[in-house]
Amino acid sequence: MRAPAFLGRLWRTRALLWGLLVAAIALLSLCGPWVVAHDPMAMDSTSQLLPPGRHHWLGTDPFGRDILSRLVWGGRRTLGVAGAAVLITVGAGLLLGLLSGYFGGAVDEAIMRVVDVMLAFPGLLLILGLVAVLGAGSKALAVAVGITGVPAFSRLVRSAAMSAREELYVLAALAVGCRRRRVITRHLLPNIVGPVVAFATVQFGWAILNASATSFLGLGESPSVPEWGSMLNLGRGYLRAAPWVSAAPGLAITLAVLSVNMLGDELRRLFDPALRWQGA
Amino acid sequence: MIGLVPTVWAVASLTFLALYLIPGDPAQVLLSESNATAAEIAERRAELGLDDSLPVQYGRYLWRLLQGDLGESLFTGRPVTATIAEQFPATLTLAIAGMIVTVVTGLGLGIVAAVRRGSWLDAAVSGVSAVGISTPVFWSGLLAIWLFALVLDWFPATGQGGLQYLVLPAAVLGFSSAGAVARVTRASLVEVMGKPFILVARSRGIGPRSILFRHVLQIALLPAVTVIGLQFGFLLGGAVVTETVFARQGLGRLVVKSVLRKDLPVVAGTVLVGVICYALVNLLTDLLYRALDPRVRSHLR
Amino acid sequence: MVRRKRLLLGILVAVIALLPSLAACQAGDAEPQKLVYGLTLIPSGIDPHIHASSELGIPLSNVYDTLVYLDPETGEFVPGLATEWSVSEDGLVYTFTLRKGVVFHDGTRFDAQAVKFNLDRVVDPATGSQKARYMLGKLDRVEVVGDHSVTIRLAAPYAPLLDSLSQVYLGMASPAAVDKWGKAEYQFHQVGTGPFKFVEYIPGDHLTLARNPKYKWGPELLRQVDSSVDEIEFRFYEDPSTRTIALESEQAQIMGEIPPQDAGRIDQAAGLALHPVAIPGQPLQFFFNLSRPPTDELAVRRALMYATDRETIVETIFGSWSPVASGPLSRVTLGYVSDFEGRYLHDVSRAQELLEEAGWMDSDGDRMREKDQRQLVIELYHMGWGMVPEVVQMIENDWAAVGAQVNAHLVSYPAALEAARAGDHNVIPFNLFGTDPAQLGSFYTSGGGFNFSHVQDAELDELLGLAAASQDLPQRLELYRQAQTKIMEQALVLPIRDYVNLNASSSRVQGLRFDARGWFPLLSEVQLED
Repeated sequence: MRAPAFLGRLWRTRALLWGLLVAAIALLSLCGPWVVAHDPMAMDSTSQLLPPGRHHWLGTDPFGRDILSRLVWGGRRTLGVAGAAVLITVGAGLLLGLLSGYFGGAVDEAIMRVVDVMLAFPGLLLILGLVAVLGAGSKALAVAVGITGVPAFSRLVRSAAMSAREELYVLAALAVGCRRRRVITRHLLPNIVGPVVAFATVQFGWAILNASATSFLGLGESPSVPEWGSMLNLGRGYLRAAPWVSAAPGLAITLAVLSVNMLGDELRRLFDPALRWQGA
Repeated sequence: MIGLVPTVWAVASLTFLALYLIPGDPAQVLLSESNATAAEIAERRAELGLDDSLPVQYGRYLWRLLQGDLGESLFTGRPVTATIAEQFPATLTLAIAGMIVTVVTGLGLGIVAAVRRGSWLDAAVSGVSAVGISTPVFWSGLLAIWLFALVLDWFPATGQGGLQYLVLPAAVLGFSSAGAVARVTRASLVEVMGKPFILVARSRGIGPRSILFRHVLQIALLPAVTVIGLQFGFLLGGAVVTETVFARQGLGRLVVKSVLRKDLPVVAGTVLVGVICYALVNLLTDLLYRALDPRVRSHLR
Repeated sequence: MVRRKRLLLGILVAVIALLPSLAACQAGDAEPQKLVYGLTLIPSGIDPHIHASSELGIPLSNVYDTLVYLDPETGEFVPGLATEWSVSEDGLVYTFTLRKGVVFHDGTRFDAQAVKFNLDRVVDPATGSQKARYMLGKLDRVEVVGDHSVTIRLAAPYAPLLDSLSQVYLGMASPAAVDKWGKAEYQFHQVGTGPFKFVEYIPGDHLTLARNPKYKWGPELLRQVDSSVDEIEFRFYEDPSTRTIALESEQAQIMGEIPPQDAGRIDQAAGLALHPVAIPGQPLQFFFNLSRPPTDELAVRRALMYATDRETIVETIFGSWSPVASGPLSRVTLGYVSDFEGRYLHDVSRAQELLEEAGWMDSDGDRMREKDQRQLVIELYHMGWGMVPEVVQMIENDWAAVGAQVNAHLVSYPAALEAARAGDHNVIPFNLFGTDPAQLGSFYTSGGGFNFSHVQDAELDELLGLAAASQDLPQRLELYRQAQTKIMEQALVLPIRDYVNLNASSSRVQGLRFDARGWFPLLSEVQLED
């Protein structure tokens, strides 16, 4: 594929636009802590529940902490946990799904049995149980949320791999004697990128949601650590007295998930040969 | 159904192990609002058989399960079956109502977006479904209560009873997974609409509506059915939060509480009910798949 | 196929068309004599002899009568189902004369045999009591002396016995009903002698009581009014954020535990009334673990007390509704002493001085103190409810200001209790409620079930042991004063705020009062105006 054509398509599909937005959010979360004016942990009993204004752009929370600073610091933690969780899900899910879809037979049977067992637990319950076992903190949360996503993800990869395996070029590669690993990495993997990316982006939103639900149920992150889910949970109690406390993290979660999802959509168009062919 | 036996065993064992590993002592929780002495708490722990070794406790647990005895809650002292029988219908009602909302809005939005691909409508649907995917139920639920119960006074805020009590929680719960369904529906519709046979049909002058309903939808709904099947588990999980926010009775609230206080019999019983539900939903999904997919159908014939 | 699609479309249209009519047919007009009372937590079970939650007592203290009552205004015990009683000099024998003509809701008679049956049931290990069994001290036996006379014999003197007998957990249930339904099912068919009858309980959904028109034998503090409500339905609002909305949208007429940030608005609102009730027992408090460094050092504990700005914490989180706590008992509890008000006031420089004297310095300039290559790190375990996470955040902030780093662990309830028992914590919050100071024994004696300070102090053990057995009230109170002084001198506990239950109601509700425990409403004279 020639570079100019690729770039042109990149522009046309608006992937660049959403990609830039995602990059901006990520960059702000990464570098923001050096940019924001206030200490996200600093409480100030003289400036509690201030509405958005010149000094505190997004207002302050019930403890007098600056919401903008907490939002920016919290982005690190929230997106970090969600990102780590998605990596776990995608990594383990790809491995299990490809093995299952490629080899079929007894391997498939064994893997899918395990997947079935895990799917039988309602997701949130599994996370709660894992967090209770592993202990609180962001690492445990990321692992719990990540593991919980694995079964559904490996299912998806498996069915994509199975249908790709029947495609002519894969059969051809096998026929000319390509090695298995090469067939998997060179032929199967690129052809399931579309659904994988699409599902991974959904997973990302789901990870943020589930992490925040544990905070609602009274587990999860320690509440003084700035994190979008627990900020939203704190803000609920002030929905009517001080709506800005919950509005900021609520909108941040939505914006982050929205842009990652959109980026996923566009990337899928970019990579999926079938969609590319019809110029969708 | 025989195939379910190893799954049930694995789920039951995992549940046992997880609850065993969660730190804490049910006897201590049981007596945490009394002025029992440390010695009395230890005595109660022994009475409940919690001092026994892991294999002994596991063996006793499996043996009971084998006899079809789910046991009694450590906390209420009631048979787990009675508790489930009393709480399950409420959760099932909520999950099914949520499912209907998910399917109707998810498919509807997905189809609209695919048909009007690239228009502002498409963009709006993307936005709406992203909001759905990205809004925690504990947050949208509170907003819905505030808006529809307090400000507009259309529906009762909380509780259960007639259908009017079900509307808000079902809408909130269903909307939370409608986004995913809409996205998948749209994507697969777009894909199918580009397939050669559709182009052929179009070139033969068959009307777009007829193409959509006769050819496209049938095939495009397959992935949506899979996703909907997977969403059911998500809905059961979401029911946990929805039940709490809307002050509704249900298994979701019960099982979270039971996990958090290590009430093994209740958790195990509930999870096993979940396994059976999941198996049934899988069966349904398979049947739907066969009904919808011409390839699978002809294969069967 | 086309027909199927039409059907689907039809259903869709029907659903959409139905929505507005659903909205219209909502139950806006409740019957005038029915009242909805919002509870906050779903109890695991509601048999007061077996289960322990405070929540169950809110409805059920109106279903059961007790042998004696504790008058919330005078603090004296007054006759209930027992018209008079006497205690032997050695404090081992209590004799009660019972009221005649009292009838259970199922029509059976209340007599001495019933009292024996109830107390025997509570102490029977097969009952599996989670609270009541531990309220009777060392019960030897209950003897029926006559038809309306009964004797309780103890193996050791137990001063709080009357206090225990005045609580719903030792309320008098109909022996016939208990026998009929059995251990697990009785809680759904409870029968007492109180001003309200138990109608039904659907766990997680509602519990309904109906007025008992035959109720004539109540103590004076339970004045039965002819126009009181006929039926009360209790519902469970576990999510604090929805409680006020439920009240404002007329879904409930009375609601407990309103979040403090909503209380001001309710207090000002035209159609609503706020009823703050102080709860006797222990304040919201944090125990320091004496068996784990660095809180094994008295200087560190004291420094952390001085470092905590309790006034600001209480003001920020609980508003002006709760008093700042000063000692191990809240102000409205028997045995409370005001000696500690003004002790351990927020004083950052005092805290820093104490730490420096004890050798905790910041030698590497990271604003955190250390001693002998050990950082000043405090392990804090806590649960995620009841405003505890909010308080913990402010404590972390305050302690960091004097150079102590807090590692906060948000854990499940069993895990918190387990950490406290095992001594993994430096600091942990916990408290119980109750009217008698004997509760201190559970927390500050070496064998206590909740000795989360891990204190092993023979002198404290003796003081609390003597106090729990003493029949002489002034002597008892003096012993508890000494014990509390020792607790605060040793800085075993950091008290934060006295509990105040912020109840709220529609202003149509008249005559709402609460009993001596603070949690339990006296519903017999509650009326609902039109």
